[in-house]
Formats: sequence, structure tokens, C-alpha cells
Amino acid sequence: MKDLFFAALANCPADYAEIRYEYFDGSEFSYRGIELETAGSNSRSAGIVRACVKGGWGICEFVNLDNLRQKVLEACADAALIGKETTMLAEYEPIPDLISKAEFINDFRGISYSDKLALIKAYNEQILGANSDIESSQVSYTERFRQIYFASTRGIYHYKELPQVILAMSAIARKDGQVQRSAESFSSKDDYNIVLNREAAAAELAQRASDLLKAPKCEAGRHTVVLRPDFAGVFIHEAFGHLSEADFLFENEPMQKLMQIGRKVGVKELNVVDDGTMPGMLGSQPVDDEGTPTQCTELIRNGELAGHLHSLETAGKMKAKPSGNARSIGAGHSPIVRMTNTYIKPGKLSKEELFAGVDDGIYACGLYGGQTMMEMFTFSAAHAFRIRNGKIAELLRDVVMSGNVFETLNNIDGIGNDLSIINRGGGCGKGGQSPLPVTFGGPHLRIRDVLIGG
Amino acid sequence: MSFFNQDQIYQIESCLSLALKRGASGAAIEANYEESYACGFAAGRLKHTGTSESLRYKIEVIRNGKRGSAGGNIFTELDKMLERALLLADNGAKANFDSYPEPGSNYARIKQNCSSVARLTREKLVEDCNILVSRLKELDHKLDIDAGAKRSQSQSIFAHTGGFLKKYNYSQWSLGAGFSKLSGEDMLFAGRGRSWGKVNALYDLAYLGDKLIEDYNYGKHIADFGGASLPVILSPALTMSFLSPVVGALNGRNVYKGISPLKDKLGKNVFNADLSIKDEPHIDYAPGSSSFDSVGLPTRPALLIENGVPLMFMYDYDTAHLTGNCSTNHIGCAPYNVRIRPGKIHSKELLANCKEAVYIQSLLGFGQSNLANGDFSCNLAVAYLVRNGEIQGRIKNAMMAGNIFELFAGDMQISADLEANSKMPHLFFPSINIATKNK
Repeated sequence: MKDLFFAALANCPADYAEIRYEYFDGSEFSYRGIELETAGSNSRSAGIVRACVKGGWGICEFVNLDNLRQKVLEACADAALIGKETTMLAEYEPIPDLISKAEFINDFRGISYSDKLALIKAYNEQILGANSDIESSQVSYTERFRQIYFASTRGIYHYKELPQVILAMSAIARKDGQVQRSAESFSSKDDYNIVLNREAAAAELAQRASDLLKAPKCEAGRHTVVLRPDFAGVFIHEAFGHLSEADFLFENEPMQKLMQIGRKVGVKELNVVDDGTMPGMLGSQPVDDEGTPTQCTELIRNGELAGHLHSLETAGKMKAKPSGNARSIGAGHSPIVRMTNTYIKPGKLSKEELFAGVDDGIYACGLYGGQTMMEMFTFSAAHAFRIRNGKIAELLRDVVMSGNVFETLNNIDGIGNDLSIINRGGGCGKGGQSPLPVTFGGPHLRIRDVLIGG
Repeated sequence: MSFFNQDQIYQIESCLSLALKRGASGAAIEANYEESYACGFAAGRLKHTGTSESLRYKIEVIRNGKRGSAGGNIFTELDKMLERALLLADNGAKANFDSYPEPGSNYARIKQNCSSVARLTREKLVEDCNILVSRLKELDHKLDIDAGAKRSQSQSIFAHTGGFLKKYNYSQWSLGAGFSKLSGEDMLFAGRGRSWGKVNALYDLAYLGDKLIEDYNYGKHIADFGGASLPVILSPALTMSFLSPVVGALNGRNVYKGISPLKDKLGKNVFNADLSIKDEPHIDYAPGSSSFDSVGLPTRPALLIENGVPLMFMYDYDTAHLTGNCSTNHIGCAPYNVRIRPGKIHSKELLANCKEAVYIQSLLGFGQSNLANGDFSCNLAVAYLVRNGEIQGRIKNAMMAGNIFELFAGDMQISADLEANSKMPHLFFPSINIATKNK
């Protein structure tokens, strides 16, 4: 492959060009209610050539490696048609040759289809039989194995393997026309054991779906909210992480001013990083999809904006160091600036101290989803509890939080001394590319004056 | 365009025969090839352009009463993927039917492929994006402007062991632009786009430009709004979002699984009598149109809700066998092109009649609500305060909550005018609770 790629790229008439080619192999089994709905498998390959001439990009997406040189030339010709400026791609210390093979604790590829099916069948039956309110269920098992080949005119050749296994479970309860759902997922890049022995989680989510039927809604308005670490993670990912992605900034001067390094964006106890090097985490890989080594990037240090996430182009134009955040969900997609593993660093308060400060508030747990329109964000808790006089009280349903990121980061008035970052199914979506494996997390977090939709 | 030649059709037929020889009682293969050209503007400048090709296929088999499927895009591996599908079937889901049905009769003739799309040259698409970008730059040179255009041509083939084989082509264009306006920490985002299978009056640069300028002018001032229960007008773009849970509740599989709020409501007065919804699978050049379903049976238009009364649930062939119902030939028990019967009052009149109301263009986080139950709680992404029939300015930091089934059951009005591309009307609801930081 290396010789093929370099032959295609040789003397290419562009300031920069790269080839990425991927083999994908995956399987999925899913129960929905009592029936097994899906038993499917997918095996495919695809590639992309990107070329940059005078700042313009030409792209050629393809399905096989035939006439690869021609595809490179096509991308170069497209780029040459539109490039009218100067190519400014950041320089960095490259890893010329990289072979990164997956290392497993327990390789899911060695387990039979029948064992995987038996496993999710048992979880599914457990959920369906948990209590009389359970009307339906969804339990799915997914495995993916990506093999990615990459070469660029900078003389680098990389091969990396990105595996992932996911167990997703949900219970759907129904009573008197009311339908409630509770869900949980588990994922790993190297260990099939992550999907084993999840009976307790299955029991818990079935019970919660039933309990949510009786739970009241939270009244609309402003509340003091304590976020569980998983919810704190989605908050920082959605509310701030996306704003740190430099593709929104690098050609937009007003946005650059808004997100200027050194600007105070939150309380001084707040520290946030994006770390693509964390062992075992879904967002980690040795190099990104432009071949840049991943790194740990400080986004907020002591409440001040400390860094942005970059591709080669955004770093080049903003005179920054590339951070290894150019990522793609697959070979048919150009890499764009994305997060990896993003989390809030722990503070000093114990969980008890955080709760003690709340006479009447909301404890938001789990995540149902989140979305952002830059400064505006919204995210839904999987479930929540009322906090009364510092103690966790009744269960609440349909808790959806919203706010302005800068205001909210300045309304944090307590950061816990714990830290939890968990691999889950699902992923991040941006620019039509979803789901990209990422993780997020943090400590318990207390925020005052949060708008809840009700 | 012709991608699947006689050799590949022979390969597909051979693979289906092999499936039967290997003990399958039924097998189907669906394959699709697409070629496209796209260009994209970022920060007001042409940023990328290029071509794309994609290929995919999926084999489904039924063996010993169980189903398995395998997909890929390497055509020479068709037989290998068949073996994988058979292996998965041995472990797989219960098949609710044993063999694929013989082809039906009276298939609708739908136009899906138009040479006008192929004639959209690279230069034309780039120039049209440029025109949109230039209009927005003239409006405000500080705007961050994106635009994009794409033309695609596809060929699909669907064949199964019941004797069905159809090869068909379709075309599509898309064109859109958007901007963000930053004022201090306030950001206004707006975007408009259209897509269709033929280059016709919908390919309207002036319309897209006018609408973006309207978004800019309505949104540039922020209105003083304290939150309240107020009349709400939904844009046509949101009407489809609000209809989705209702249409999802007519999905026969959801009904069977017990997760449809309309489970026991067929023939009953559930919704406002003005609400009538139909499914139109045969609209020429509409992206959702199809003359046949997932087993090759002919599709038919269907009246789903009439005068507020749900009339039918949608069933595909498999779900129909599972539940003991007749198939309505709906792929995945879902509609092809949803259409709502227009009301009698123009949206401009709806707006003019409002003493105080909120006009909502788009929402943020709508999909993360508990929509199976009809509950929603989400941000107003782009919404305007209306006073005495006039838009006063944009509403910031506000959330809206309610239940869709309750809204459609209560007082409501449907506009007489429809958005040309989606064919969706405006909806008016007399009261929805909107919370803000201020209240």
C-alpha cells in the first residue's frame, strides 16, 4: 500500500496532497421488544484524496484503488481551479512511518455470533421481565473494526486500526398513555469484557423507566443544578468544546476575538482539556486523520481560554501548533476539527460539600442528548432528582437545560474533587459526520441560575 | 448514467440462485451506485470542490425461518457476503415470512431521473453559490457566510428470489447558504436550502437570497421578552418536525411494540378536526418517492389521518406477517412523502391577527425530547416576538415545552399557503409555555 500511495502522490502538482483509504468491517445485532430485529454485517472499503493548491481544496472520493494516480491528479486539478490565495498548512514534527495495530484485552473478533446474541438476548429478557410497566425494550450489540491507510506529500505513511465494541440497552415503560424511556450504553476499543456482566445496569434502567412514569416534570425557570460527572461531561463538550474547534474561528475575525487566548471565560477554578492520547479511551488515537500526532490540549486554564483545537489548515492560518484534532468518521469524509476526550479537571469540593450548598435544586444525571448553536446550548438529562436541603429527593423527568455558555461557565460555583470519564456508545455529530467516537467527563459540578425548560 | 451492467446483473442473479441452493427460502439484493459533484464556500470564499463516487449493496436471506443480512461495496465479494448473511441467519432474527412475494401489478410510473440535473455544470453550481454569497456580503460584509451546492446521479438495482428485478436511475440537486452574525457574545445563525430531483422553479436563487435577508432583518434586533404562555406560529420547516411523532405513532411496528400513543385510537376523534394527513409515494422527482416497497410490491397513496381521525397504521411486509395485518407496502412502516391538508387562512393573515405571539423559525434540541410520548422541551434557536401583527425582533435564551399530541388535539390553525419545496404549511397554536431567564 505504501508504494502504491507514494507512486500516486509522486511529483503531484499541489502544495499538499494526501490519500486515505479504509477497510471497515462491522456487525450489529439488535433486539426491539421480544424479537431480534437485526442480525447484520457490513464490510466495505473507500478512500479519499485531498489536495490543496493556493489555499483551495480539491477532493476526490472513491470506492476502489484503481487508477489512484488519476484520482490524485483530479483532486489537484479541482484544487487548482479554485485556489487563489496562499496555502498555509502548519508544520510539525511528523512521524514518518507509523504502524499502529490494535491491542486487545479481550478481542471481540474471537467471540462467536451465537455467544454475542445469547448475551444480548439475556439482557433483553431481563429488561422485559423486570416489572409490569415495561412495554418494550431495545438492546443492541455493535462491533466495528476500521483499518486506515494514510500517506501525504509530506512523506509520511501511517496505518492504524480502530476497533470499537458497544452494548446499548434501553427500557420503555408505559402506563395510562404515558411512555418513558431509560437507556444506558457501554463501549470499549479493546475489551469485549465491557459488554459482559451488565445485569445490574439492565435491572436499574428497567426500574428507572418505570419510576419515571410516576415522576413529576421539573417546573420551568431558573434553578441551581448539580451535574453528575457524565452530565458535566456532555455540558463541557456541547457548551464549550465545540466553540474551541478552530474551523469556526480561523477565517472569522469577530469569532477569533470572542475566543481569544487569555480571555476570561469562566470561574478561576475551571480547567478543561481535550486529550487524544488517553490510553483505552474511544477518542484516542496515535495520529489524527491528517497524520498529526494527537496531544493533550488545555482549553481553559484557571478560567481563562488557553487553547483551541486545530487541523493543519486552522493551525497554519492562526499561527498555532496543530493539535491532532482533524478527524473523519470514515474514508468518504474529509477530516474536520473535532474533539477527542474532553473533560473538566477536578476541583476541591467533596460531593457532600457540593450538595450541602443547595437548599432547593436539581441533580441532573446521565445524558439523553445535547446540541449547540455556538454560544447557545441545550442538553437533556436522562433523569434527574430534586435536591432539598442538600439531600437527594424525588425523581424528576424531562429535565432539559439551556443557556449561554459564557454566562453559564461564570455561574459555576462548585467543582467536585472526583473525576469520571466513561466510554459509551453513540458519539459526536458535526458537519454531517456522525457518530464520531469521543468521550467526555469531569467531576460533579454545581451551577446556579440554569434555565430548565419544564 | 449506467453503472450496473449485464455482467453485474448476472452476478446478482447468480448470487440469489446460490442462496436458494444453500438452503435459503428467500433472498434479496439491493445495490446502489452514486456519482456526485459538490462545491462549498466557507467564510464567503470558494473553499473546496470535488467529485465523489459511492457504492453499496445489501444481501438479505431467509433460512430455516430466520433472517440475516450482510452489506458491502466490493462487488467481487458478493458470494462471500452471502455466506456471512447465511451464517447470521442461522443465528438471526425470526423471519415473519418465508419467501419473497411475486411482483405485483400496476406499478406507478414515477419520474425520478432528469437530465437537467446532469446539465448543472461545475461552473454553474459555483457561480450560483457565488451569487448567494455576494447578496449576503452586500447586506453585511461582516457576516460569516457559507454556501454549498451538489448534483448527484444514482443508479439502484433491487432483485429478489420472488422474481422481482428493477434497475432505476435517479438524480438530485441541492443548493443552500447560511450565515452567522456576531454581535458581542450574541450569535445569529440562519440557513436556507432546497433540494429536488429536477431543475425546476424550486431552483430559485432569488427566493433563497430573499429568505436569508429576511432572516437577517428579522433577527438583527433582540426583542425584550420575559417569557409567557403565548400563541405560537411554527414555520413550515418546523411543521414536519412536529408531525414526526404523530406519523411515528402510526408506524405499525411501534403499535405492535406497544410504544405508540395511538395504539388504541384508530377511528377515534383524537386530533383537531382540521388535521388531515396523507402519504404520497408517487410525486415526480420528490426524494421520498418510490413505486415499490422493500419486497417489490407496488406502493399506493394513503390517507393516514382525516379530519382528526387516525384511519390506518402503516405496515411493511414483515410487520404485516408479524402482526396478522395486511401490508400497506410502507418501507419500514414509514411514509414516503407526508402531506398535510392546507387550512383556509394565509400565514400572513395568521401573523397579522396576532396581538402578541411568538413566530418560531427553528428549534435547538427538539430531537432530544421524549418524542415517543409527544413531550418536547427545547431551545428557541431562531424565533421572533410578534406584536400587533409585526415582528419586533429575535427572542434569546428561551425554551418552549409542551406535548405534541395535546397540541394537535386542541385548538390550532393550519395555513392555506405551503412552502414550495416541503409542501408544509405554517401551524398556529393559541398557547404554548415559553420560559426565559427573566421569568
